[in-house]
Amino acid sequence: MPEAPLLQVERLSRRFAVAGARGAQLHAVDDLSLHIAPGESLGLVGESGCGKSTLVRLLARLLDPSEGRIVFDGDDLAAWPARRFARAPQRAAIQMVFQDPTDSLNPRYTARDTIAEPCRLLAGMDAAAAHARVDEVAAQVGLPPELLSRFAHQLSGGQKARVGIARALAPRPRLLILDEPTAALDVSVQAVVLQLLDRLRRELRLATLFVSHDLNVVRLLTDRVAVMYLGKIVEMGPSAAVFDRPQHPYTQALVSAIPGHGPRIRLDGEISSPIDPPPTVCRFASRCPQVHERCHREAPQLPARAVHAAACHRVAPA
Amino acid sequence: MTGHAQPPLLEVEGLDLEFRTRGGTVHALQGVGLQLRRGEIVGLVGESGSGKSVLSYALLGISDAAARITAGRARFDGIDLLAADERQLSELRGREVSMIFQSPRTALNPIRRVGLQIEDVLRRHAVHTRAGAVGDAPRGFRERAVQALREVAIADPERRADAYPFELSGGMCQRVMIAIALACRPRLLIADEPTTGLDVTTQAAVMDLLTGLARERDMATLFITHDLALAADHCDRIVVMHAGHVVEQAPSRRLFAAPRHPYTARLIGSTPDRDGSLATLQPVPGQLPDLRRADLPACRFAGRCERADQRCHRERPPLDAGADHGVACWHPLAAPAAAAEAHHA
Repeated sequence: MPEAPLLQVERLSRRFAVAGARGAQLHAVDDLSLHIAPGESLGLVGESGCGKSTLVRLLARLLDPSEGRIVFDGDDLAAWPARRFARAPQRAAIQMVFQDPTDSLNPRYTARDTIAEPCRLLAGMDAAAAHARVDEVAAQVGLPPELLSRFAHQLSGGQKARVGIARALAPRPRLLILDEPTAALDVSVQAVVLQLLDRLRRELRLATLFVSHDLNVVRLLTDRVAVMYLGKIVEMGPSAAVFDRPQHPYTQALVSAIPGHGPRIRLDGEISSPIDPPPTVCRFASRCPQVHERCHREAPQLPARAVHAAACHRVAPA
Repeated sequence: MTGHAQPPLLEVEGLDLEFRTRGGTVHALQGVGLQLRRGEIVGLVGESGSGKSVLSYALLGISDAAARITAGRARFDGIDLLAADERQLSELRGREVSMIFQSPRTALNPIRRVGLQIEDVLRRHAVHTRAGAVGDAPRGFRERAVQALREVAIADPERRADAYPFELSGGMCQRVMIAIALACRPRLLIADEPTTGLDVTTQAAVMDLLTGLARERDMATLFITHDLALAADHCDRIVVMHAGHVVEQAPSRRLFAAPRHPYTARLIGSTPDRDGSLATLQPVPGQLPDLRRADLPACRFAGRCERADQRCHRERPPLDAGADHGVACWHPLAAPAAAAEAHHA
């Protein structure tokens, strides 16, 4: 690795108590490690319920981990309780763009208020500095100045998406977490927003974690991609390699399910339960078309330090 | 129109629909024409606000109270849908024509077991039709509901019939919606974004299930989506809407290989695919025009189109809904090369 990672996640876990079942725990994120270099874009894909959102909330420090370390620029952020992190010096450095550009904007704030708030609260700017910063960042995201006095309901979907991005950029973050940033947009608008995000991350040398269902979009916007299944990363590698030569049977099925991708690998069987999963069984074994006897007595591990690796007994580390 | 001996199962002609609102009259549909043949799977695509859902609601007679149909015809198997009274329509809905709504979690009754929700449909139409096909005994309803769940590939249907929607995953709820819609074996299914919000693997499974059942039962399906690639994968034909107009309709592969309307071409160009790069992604310029305007251009895409001239603003280009490949444009993109034509013929 040429450069020290900006974010280093080590053996991170988050378990939730299950209502009505004493002692039972749902393993949302399970012993997960990853890293993001400065300026790098990492994609995170997987089905709903695989723990993507929990991981995002852990990394954005909105949720406390059960175990593990979140080392950001040398500091272990897991030591900060989530409820106090709002006042941590790193709060400004990790920012998030949320899924729904309408729901994530305060309807009683103008676009300018929305973008100025983190400047004042997180970056400690006074009113004049915040005003100047709003103008600057609005220009960066291509939001015309005359729209800054509008409320969310007076903006189109694409304009609201730009406000959400501008708000995240305003306090000059170094890591941007994008949670399905274009899921609520029409394709006609999506293309513009994707190009904007890509330009911004290159210009500002922003590290990004890009979470999305849409694998075609992830491929376009990321350097590397991590595939998650039931709380674990099952495959990680350079985006082109993962999409063109997926190693893990789950990734192969996922890629084959992209519309327009030709022959589909059908996944039969049920998703195994994330509640107290047996530690010695591969989580994908119940649906895996290539399952064999070893998968039921030994859970495969993701080889560390390989460029492109999969947690599967069938795959030899590349 | 060439050699289709049978009349279309669904035929919409020159449909105009408007909403009277405080902010003015919204001309939501104008001169919409559409044909579906028996067993045909047709994709209806377009941006949000293009009128896809408004059209399907109008066909089922479940439009918003502010909606007024001001012109046009819609016939289903010889029945005039626009002239039918509420009693006739409620006979038709759920039995002959069914709909799957966008969000299964909100469309299902949250406090009723899913098996009973399927039985409700069966019971409703059994009373009205008095036909033996549905089965009349109370016990028969339960069995038919379980069978309906089995047909949509829900594992352990006897147990799942007693589940509430919150106990099921999103994909499973959508299967229940499909089971409800198909319980009476309709001849026409309208599926409004049936896989929005589902994962790609679940989406693929739900689409395979829907199209598989449609083919098996020879059920015509109007599949509403904004996902062009998904429509191309699963539909025989695609109809493209823009701002309340149908602008193009063609067999799926042909539409993708050689779109003729500039809007269709733009829509395809803005969709990320497996080979393209970010730089080749072309956004559609501008946005849908405000449909309240009194001075809308005759071709509603004219304001966003680089090929538009005076005529496009003045005179509406016609569309042949019965043609194999119809395009409503005065300056369409070049017709497909001879090779593509030959392939299609």
